[in-house]
Amino acid sequence: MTPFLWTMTVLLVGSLVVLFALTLTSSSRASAVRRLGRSVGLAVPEGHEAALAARAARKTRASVLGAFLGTALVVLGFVTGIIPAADPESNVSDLWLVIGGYFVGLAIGAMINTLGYRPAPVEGERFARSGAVDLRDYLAPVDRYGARVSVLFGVLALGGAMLLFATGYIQLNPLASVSAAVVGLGVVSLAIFEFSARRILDRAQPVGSPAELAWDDALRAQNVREIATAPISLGLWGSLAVLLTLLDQPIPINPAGDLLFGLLIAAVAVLLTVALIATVYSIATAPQQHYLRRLWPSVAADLARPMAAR
Amino acid sequence: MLTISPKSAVPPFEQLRVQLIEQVQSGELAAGTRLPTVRRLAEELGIAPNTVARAYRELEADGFIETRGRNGTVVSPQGDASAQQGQLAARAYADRIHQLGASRDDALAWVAAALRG
Repeated sequence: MTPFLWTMTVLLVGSLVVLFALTLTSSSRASAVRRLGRSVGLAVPEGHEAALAARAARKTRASVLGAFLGTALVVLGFVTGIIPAADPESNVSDLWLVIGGYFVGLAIGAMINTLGYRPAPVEGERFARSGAVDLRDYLAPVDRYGARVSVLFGVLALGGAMLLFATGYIQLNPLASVSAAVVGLGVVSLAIFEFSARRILDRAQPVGSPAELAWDDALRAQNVREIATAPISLGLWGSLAVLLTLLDQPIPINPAGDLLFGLLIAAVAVLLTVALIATVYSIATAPQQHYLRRLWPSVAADLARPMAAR
Repeated sequence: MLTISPKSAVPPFEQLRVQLIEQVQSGELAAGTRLPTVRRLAEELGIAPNTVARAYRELEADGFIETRGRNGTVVSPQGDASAQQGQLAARAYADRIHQLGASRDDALAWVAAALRG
């Protein structure tokens, strides 16, 4: 591993340690829940602060632990030589793979925490939603389709690279490159997402008040989004990594080679533009409150109204 | 929202049945809306699956809901033939609006404008 990769790994692990430390004191847990409430558009119900803070802290710890283990496994793979170092013929960094391990670990941690969550028994009156829910209620289209489309891009890019290798246009076997491993991690993370999102949403939500149900929805939506982040990021990075690997290869100087070079540059530009537009759109539409607009439209409408009109 | 009070003198089956009828009649549960599965609703409300299944069976017999195989149990359109067609069209419109990600206010404004025209 290069000093640069060690530095970046230490920074990643350092950020995880800080996140973990913030779950250890009750004051930081309480402020984290208040921040979460503002982000998801819900007030923290009186009498439930401690339970919500504990649940949110457990979720953060599970995600942090998963991300740490994912990162550590990739680093261990590099150190022991199980994962070959960066392609000598490519500038695509091993860092892609380390961050990939981070995201896949984060997704697995979030999945285990949510599927293992046992709600406290409800005494007295119970509440339930009268309509059925599905993934569309918890995940905005930009995230839902983004996860699948990004991974599809990665697989298509890798397939194209293999075709170029098979026809002799490039010398580097794409399957033996770091970029292929990133695309592979993207596919794995998409499988985790498709499996766990449905399992999470299939679980019953026993609650004693509508406010508790709204918070349960918010935490579910947050978990599902966190799990979807891995395929979105890895699919996109995998596609870029494959394209950048191809651009690093010596391409024959002839009309076909020129066309290929032009297509690769265009593909990188299109990919970056789509990613930028999707990111801006995502930020502008507040996907963390998508569940609120779908499942709690009156709360969302109240939130959208200017303060003076409330 | 459905609620079951364990202290009520009314049996849970009846509490559930009455609430669902009220929501269908008031339009809170629109035609075509999918209901939760028997197992899930029973778990959420803390009652036996048979209780939910019985309520669903009676609601189906009374024409409030219908079972559509793999699509689960959905709310039936109510009223005369034209009212039923209108409710189904409204459901299709609502589904399309959700697909497009448009806001509730915009969707209501568009349909009001279309009705005026």
